Amino acid sequence: MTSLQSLEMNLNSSQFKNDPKNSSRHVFQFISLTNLVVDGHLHSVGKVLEVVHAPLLRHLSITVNILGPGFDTCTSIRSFVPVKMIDKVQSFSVSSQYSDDILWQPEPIDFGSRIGPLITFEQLEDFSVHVETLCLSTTHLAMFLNDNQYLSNLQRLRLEYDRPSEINQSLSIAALPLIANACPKLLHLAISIYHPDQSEMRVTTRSGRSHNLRTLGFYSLPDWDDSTSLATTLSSFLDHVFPGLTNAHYCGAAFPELREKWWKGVQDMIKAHQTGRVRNESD
Amino acid sequence: MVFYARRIRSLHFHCEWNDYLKIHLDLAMAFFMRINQLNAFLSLRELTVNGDLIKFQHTTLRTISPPNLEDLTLFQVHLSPQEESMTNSFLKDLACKSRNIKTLVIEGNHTGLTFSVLPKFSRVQNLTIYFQNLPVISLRLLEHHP
Repeated sequence: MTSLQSLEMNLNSSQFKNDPKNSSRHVFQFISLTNLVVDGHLHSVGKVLEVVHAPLLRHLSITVNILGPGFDTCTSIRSFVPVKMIDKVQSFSVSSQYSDDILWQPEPIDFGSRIGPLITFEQLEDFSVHVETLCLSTTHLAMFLNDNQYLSNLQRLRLEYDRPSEINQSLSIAALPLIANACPKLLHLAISIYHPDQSEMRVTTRSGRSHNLRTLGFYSLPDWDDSTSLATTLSSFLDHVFPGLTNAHYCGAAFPELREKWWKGVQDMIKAHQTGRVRNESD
Repeated sequence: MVFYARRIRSLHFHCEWNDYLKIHLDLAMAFFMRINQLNAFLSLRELTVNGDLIKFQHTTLRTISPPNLEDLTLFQVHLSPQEESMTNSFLKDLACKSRNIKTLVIEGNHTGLTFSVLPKFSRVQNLTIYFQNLPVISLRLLEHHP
């Protein structure tokens, strides 16, 4: 295929079990390829990346199934992404797909030991985590962001988990200013918040730099009351952290209609804050 | 009808198979066959085939020959070997008739039989595929051969 510029491969059903001997020694030439998207178990993704030779490759997007074969706590990025390709990785996703025959509750995935070490891409613009149960506290997130300065290039971040291992091991609303500081180029953020702590929202001082985040989605929020005073506090806080926000919404699957009206109120208040600020600046 | 059909840019086949529907679909496909003979699909750029329709494609879809087709999408799950053989013929046929296909999406439990046809789509620029128990060496079918 001489014109192939973009190749997207879903390898989730493939284990590459029946490979002929020495097949991985082949290198396949993809002379025109500039964009490569690979989605599957770590073992399969690694095998494909090993045999693809694409000298013009500019964008590499990888999604790995963290529960698949070949993944353990010792897994490092170097074990499945060839060195020549590491600086091409612009998009990296971690997912957990369970086979239908699994009936037991899966073990929580510890972000610090299992996901964090994988993210060593200097050109990363898009990072996504979608797992069943995650173990990630706000304190651990702060440490992780502090230790990984290259995340400053991120434009899109998704941290979605269906339930926390424990409430104390989950993210609180305080994660938002941490992310804002660590990822100044971020445009789109979607996050699961389970920790009920509201104390961070009382901060009134504005940080020095203005953030350009455009969309903010919440996959989950704690069982806060849907009061007007909370809507006022939250909208003020969101406007404080992300003054350029154009869309803040609830994107969780559970009962979205219950909070629809409340979220519309929050959105309207954010707009009112922005309008008021513009008016003050022009005066 | 041919006058209007010549304005169709995008055609999406989606069908769930049962014997009752078969009668109506056979009728519809006879119609497609007739207007195809009158060059009705000159403007067709995008074709999507979704679901069980492949079960009777040997008498239906193969009758369509859109010379300017650019995007082809195939969603097929639970393909039997016989059905995949039909898919193979369908793709071979289309690779000859529609030489401008630039985007090809193939999703489902296709095997090497389907992938063996892919090199015939020599102008494809964007390819999305699902690998189902294929050896990694299958990638040789997609690579650049000078």
